[in-house]
Amino acid sequence: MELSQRARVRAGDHDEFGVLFEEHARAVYNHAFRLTGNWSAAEEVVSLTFLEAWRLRGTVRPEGGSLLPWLLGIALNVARNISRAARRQQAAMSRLPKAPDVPDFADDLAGRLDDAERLEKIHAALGGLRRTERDVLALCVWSGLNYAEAAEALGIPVGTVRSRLSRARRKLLREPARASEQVTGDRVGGTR
Amino acid sequence: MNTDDLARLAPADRDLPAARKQILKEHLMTELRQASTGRAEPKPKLRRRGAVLVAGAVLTAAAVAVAAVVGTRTSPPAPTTAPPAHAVTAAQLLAKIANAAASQPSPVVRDSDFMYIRSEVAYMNYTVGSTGQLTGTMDKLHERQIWLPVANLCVTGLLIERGERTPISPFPVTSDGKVDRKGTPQPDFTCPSQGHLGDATYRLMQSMPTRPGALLAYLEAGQKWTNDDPPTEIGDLIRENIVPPALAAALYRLAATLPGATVVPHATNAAGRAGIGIMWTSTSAKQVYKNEWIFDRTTLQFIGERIYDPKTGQVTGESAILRQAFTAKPGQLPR
Repeated sequence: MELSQRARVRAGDHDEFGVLFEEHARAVYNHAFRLTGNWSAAEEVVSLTFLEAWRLRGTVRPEGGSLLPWLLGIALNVARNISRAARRQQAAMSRLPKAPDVPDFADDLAGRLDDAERLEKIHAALGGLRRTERDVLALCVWSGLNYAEAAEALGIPVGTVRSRLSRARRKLLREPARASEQVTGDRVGGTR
Repeated sequence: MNTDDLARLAPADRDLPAARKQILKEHLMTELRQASTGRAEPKPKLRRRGAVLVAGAVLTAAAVAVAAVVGTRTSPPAPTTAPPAHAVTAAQLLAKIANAAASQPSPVVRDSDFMYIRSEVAYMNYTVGSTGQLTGTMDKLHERQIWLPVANLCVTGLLIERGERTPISPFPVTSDGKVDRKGTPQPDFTCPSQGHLGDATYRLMQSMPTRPGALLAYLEAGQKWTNDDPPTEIGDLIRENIVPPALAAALYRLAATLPGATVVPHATNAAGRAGIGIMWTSTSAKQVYKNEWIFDRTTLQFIGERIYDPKTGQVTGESAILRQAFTAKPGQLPR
């Protein structure tokens, strides 16, 4: 009988972690960027997320679909407390080759800087939300998880996801001017 | 704004740069292989030892700016008297500290005993904010008690900190505080184990070389576990530990020969006890730090440390050793 991906991950199958990385590194990278607003921090988060996933492989539930929600949940914790994760993985991270001084995305460096600036404004607009509400937004709105998947990622009941999301929505609607101006204004630079 | 706006406004997804992705993946696969082939990994210093700095590479990559620091420590009382004002060099002071350590009695310790250390500590916790800034928040000074097995790391130790009891084990510890002996141990070593540099038992320390050249070679070889320079390794050894007298003397004698130390004539530990300090400063490409070891002014025993942000000079961690002794069981207090 062929084992499921979840079973192989739980069993600590190296190749399966390689597959997992191929499948989900990009999604984790973009999720991490939206959380940190910093592309090189996002790389660190990717690395730490998969190392932590290895450490936490025993916590994968045997039944279920894609492991992406699980990884995104780990990434949230890593990004929130990068130093703790880094300490836990200190030895491993010390062996990670440093990113080159000239980034290999030099071609679209300008685009990436724009992304970071844009995200900074979005984060400012989300300033009135609780962290738990922002987490749900990041998972459901940006990474496209459904309620059940977000619940799995956060380890909370589906109902809680729903209520946090609706609370976040109400709060965002309450401050339309401030939020949209900061986020969409073409030239708000200079004021901040 | 509604959530559709939010989705629309977020930057479009990008690929992880191909070369970098390859490096990250190879790194992951190498780490997994090493975790499974019995090559012991250095244990995270924090879980066992408490205090420690973030891997430099991670900090430099992630650090945009260290912002707001909450909860600065209260300054300790100023020393009332001003003892020996003659300038003593760091090497001279370390030599005296070594002699004092050498004259300590060697306790009789059974393999089944635990090393007990009670301290007061406060270290900086870093979090990455929503915009990528690192924010440091200083712990409140609090009590920490640790029991570490004398002879075998596979024996479960105990940490009590902030009212929380955490087993200390190379095996996975579940969220309800149980040690999962069937789990894959981290580091992946075979039991029993006396540990290695970076996570050494008392028995291992007793077997470390005490001649300066041999000790330095030992510490340098130990960099494969710790990735740290010798002053940092020595600092990690004395931080929260009962170091056998012969080794303690050897470590301080070796420290006296290493560059980077200066004397701090008036130092106080986190509990406000006055002492004399040795400040280690490094700005090498590999390691940047500013760490102070604090010793009792008369007994010259180690009574705590203080670590600083080398750029701003701000305190990012401090401790005071209050008690150290051996006990028969974890959780048991020495008489």
